[in-house]
Amino acid sequence: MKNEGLGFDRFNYYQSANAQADAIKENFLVRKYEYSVILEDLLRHPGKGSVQHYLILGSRGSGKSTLLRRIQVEIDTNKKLLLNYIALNMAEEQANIYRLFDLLEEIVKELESQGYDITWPSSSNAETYSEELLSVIHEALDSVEKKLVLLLDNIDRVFENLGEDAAVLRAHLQNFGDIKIIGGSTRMTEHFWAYDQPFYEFFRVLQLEPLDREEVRSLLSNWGEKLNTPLLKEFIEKRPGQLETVRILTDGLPRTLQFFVNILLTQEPQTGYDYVQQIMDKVTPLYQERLSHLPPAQRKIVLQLAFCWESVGAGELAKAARMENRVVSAQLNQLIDKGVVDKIQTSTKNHLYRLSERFFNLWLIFTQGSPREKRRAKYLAIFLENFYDADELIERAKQHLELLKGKSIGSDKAALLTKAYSQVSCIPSRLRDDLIDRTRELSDIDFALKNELPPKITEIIGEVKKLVGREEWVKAEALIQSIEQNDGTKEYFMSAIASERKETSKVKELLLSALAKGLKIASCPIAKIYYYYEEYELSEKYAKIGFDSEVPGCTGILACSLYRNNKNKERALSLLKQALIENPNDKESLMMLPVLQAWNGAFKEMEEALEVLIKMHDYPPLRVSIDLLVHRQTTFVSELYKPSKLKGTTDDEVFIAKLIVDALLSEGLSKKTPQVFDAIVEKMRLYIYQRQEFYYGSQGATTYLNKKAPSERAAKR
Amino acid sequence: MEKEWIHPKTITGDAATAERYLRREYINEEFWREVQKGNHILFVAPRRVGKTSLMKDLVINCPEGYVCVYEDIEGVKTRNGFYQRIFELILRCAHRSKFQEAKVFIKRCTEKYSIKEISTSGIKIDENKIDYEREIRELIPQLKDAKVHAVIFLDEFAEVIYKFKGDQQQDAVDILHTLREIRHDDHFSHFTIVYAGSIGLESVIKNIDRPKLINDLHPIKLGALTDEEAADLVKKVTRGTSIRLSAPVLIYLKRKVGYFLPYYLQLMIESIDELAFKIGKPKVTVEMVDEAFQRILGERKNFDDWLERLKSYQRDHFPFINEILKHAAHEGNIPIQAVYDKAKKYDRTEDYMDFIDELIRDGYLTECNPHVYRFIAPFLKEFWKQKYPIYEK
Repeated sequence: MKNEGLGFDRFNYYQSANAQADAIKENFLVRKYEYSVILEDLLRHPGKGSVQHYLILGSRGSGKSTLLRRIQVEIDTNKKLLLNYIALNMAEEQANIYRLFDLLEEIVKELESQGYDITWPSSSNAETYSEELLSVIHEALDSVEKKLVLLLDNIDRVFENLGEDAAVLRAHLQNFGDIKIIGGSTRMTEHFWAYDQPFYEFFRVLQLEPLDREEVRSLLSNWGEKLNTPLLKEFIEKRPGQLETVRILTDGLPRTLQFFVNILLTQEPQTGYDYVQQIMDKVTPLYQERLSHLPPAQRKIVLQLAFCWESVGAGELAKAARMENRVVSAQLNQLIDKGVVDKIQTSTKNHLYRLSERFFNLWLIFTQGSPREKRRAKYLAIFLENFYDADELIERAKQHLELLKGKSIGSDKAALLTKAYSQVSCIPSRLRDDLIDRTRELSDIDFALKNELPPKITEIIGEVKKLVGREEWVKAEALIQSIEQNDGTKEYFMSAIASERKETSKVKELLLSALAKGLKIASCPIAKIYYYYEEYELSEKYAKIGFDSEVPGCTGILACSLYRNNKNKERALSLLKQALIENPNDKESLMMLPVLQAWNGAFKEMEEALEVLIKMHDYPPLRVSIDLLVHRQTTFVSELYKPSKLKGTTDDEVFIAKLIVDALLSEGLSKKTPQVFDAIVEKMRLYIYQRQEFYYGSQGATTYLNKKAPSERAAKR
Repeated sequence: MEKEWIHPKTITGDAATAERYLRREYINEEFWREVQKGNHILFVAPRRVGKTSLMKDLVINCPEGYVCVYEDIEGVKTRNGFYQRIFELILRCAHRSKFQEAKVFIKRCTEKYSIKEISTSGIKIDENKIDYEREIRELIPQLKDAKVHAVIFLDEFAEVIYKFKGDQQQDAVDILHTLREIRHDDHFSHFTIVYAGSIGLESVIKNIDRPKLINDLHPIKLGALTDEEAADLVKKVTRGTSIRLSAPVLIYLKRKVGYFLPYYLQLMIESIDELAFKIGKPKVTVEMVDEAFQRILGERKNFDDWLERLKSYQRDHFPFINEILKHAAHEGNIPIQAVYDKAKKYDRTEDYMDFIDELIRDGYLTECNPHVYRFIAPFLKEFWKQKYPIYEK
């Protein structure tokens, strides 16, 4: 990516206000809408009549001057336009223009230098001097039957000092219709919108918005071609994601974009930190100039906003800047007008504010922040996060881990980068903890630096567990929320709290969210929840996700789900056996083993497995017996409940199970079973028939229901 | 694609003329009917309604027997300056007449006042020590013989009078007196003045406590376009351009704008054109109309000004007025019963209708049904909702 020969000078050649006409035309690639509106208006309405005046609004570096210059070049070189217009482009920095007559004098001087026969007014009366100069201009224009197109950058500065002359100027514009103003401004001052001002809604406002993706691409492609750097083209084609990041960071401002591209093509980063350092150094002149243009109060607010990074309310900002609320609000409005700050509307009357250009924000933290603010490393994290895609970032974090392992990085830089990576949301929790561990182990790391490293996720979770134990839910949740990783860890542990608090629907929601963020271990509890609620297709789906990712605990649930869905008998049994190897004491697997064996026809193994189960529980669990009856193990089950087998059992549950099984095994309802169990027995019988239909395609349930219906009708009679 | 794109023929800011102007014949007819009757005219309308466009159209399409001149006089700063401007306008009218008698009149004036040149950019006089007030009293009666009926359109007249404050207030009263005398003198029958201004002339005159000085003017109210006129305007400015609005979209656009000031209709068209241009789709959809509406709402500072103005000139009563407006914004309208309920809360049961009248006069509200009021412009209503998102009945 290196291209040592590429520098700002060559860019400037193509972009500055002094560039040659051909170059200006050739390199005018963005702001085409605004240009075409103005140009079409010029071509369509050359004569007397309505005159549309324009105010081009845009941040510093958004392309106002270039647009004005482009219009001038077109008027100067297009024969049709030249016939009807004279274009005068007042320089961007009009240091000498304070009052209307300063501006008019400049115009008259310019007309004189272009060969117009000018008779300067003799009046020394300031009251009438402007009017007299305007008359001189009208006469000059009248003599050649042309209109003047006045291209006035920083028009707000001129209007600020117009005072009562504003009315004079507007009257002349209205009465003569021979001057068209196209002004550029970073802000919309009250002169243009206040009802009591002469120029109230007088201009058509053309807002130069941040360049969109296509415009950035077209601009960069052109620069690539003009500067003969195929590398730039390659960058555009191969790294569209990074291109979009650059666009967002630069707020789509052509001037900042120019700096960025230059850096991209000339720097080969060693580490993320070096990279950001180099970029910040390069971009300093541009932003220093921007900062120096702000009055002290606004500078202070801009800095505070930068340190906050996220959008904040005016009140909070006032507190941080130690300024009065109303002062901050007023200054914020001016900063919005200048395009430096964005206002984010909320549903309340308290709106939020943040710096518009994110890269400018980074630069402010990097260069203007105190050592403490810099050590917070948030800026570095933000930079990294914005500049690399997730895969690249993880790769870079891994490289950093290698450097740490090899102890081949200074502890200062190591700690800063570890901190930054720790705050990057896409870095997996385990990698994050490894980075912190390794950084702590560096021999030359001092106590303060070590102390400033963030806690590991495992440490945070340890604390959370303690809080949960004490039922301090709010604190536990707050602590979990402090985890910056966006890999689902937060949601996973929040689900554990929700589970403790019996908030069942929340548990599922959080786990699904954790899984969606890539935390595979969440798949196991999700599968279990779906299994519990008998949504077996879903339990199979999530168990499979977990199993494929080798999440512990998923094998058994996958096997059981396959069984419940009547799928892949052999695999289900083999998985269940594997689950018992992984966890020999897993109750669910142990109970389901004889059932899956019966399903598979492995009756010998079934009997053995049941023996184990009976040894463990002293009695055969009812659930298992019912499932065995599904697989038609009537005799086997009836033997299980023989009095000899249950000898010595005093457990009521076993006794009840025996009564139910007896009833199920007899035709109709057993006389031995108390009437109170009738409903349960009927329900279980239906279940057995239904499952038999499901597994074996028999019509048991249908027959049973048909048979049952007439007897019920008879009973009712 | 961009090369072929043709933008709408809108004009926002300066007056609309020629192909960009939508004439309302009934206003022109009323105007000339009143002038023929010998009335002097006062155009009444807030800013951005289209007074200047109308005046310029009347000037260009002046009927036989009249000579019209339009002049924005807001640059006038002194009493003599005002009369000088009238003096010049009279001469410019006569200068434009094709009658021989008018040429004789001009020749006489040129000699008398040492006039070097009369042109569109003004009148050049060598010795400029003329008592213009006296001279116009001399000149106007001569117009009849010169076969010139001069109709002078004075734009921003109210602003000029308004600016004469303090020591200059007497000058304003004198000017108004002189103009009234001229209007009522039979010798001046060939001279008509049309007054206009963005700020209401009545309230300016009320402030200097001389309402009688203008109560003889014939007011012509200039309101929003009708539904049909709005459609005509949209069709006019988009005819032959790239964007295409189907009939349902046009209906939707009109419903969205609600109150048909040419300015806001054209702003919408411009915003729609920009959206369509940027996505390269000339066929306008309702979604594009919605987005254009939101963009205008979001970008334009002048909505803030509507609020600030109210806060400033209704400082003491703003909470009460704002309650009314918040209700109208959130509920869609406000019935008189709700107004009264709020008046009770703010102890304004004696004069609450004055506030409603003022809100109507200043262009905030309109009476949509008897005793039910709503925002004139949906733009303003939405702005108010954004500004005050929380409203409890």
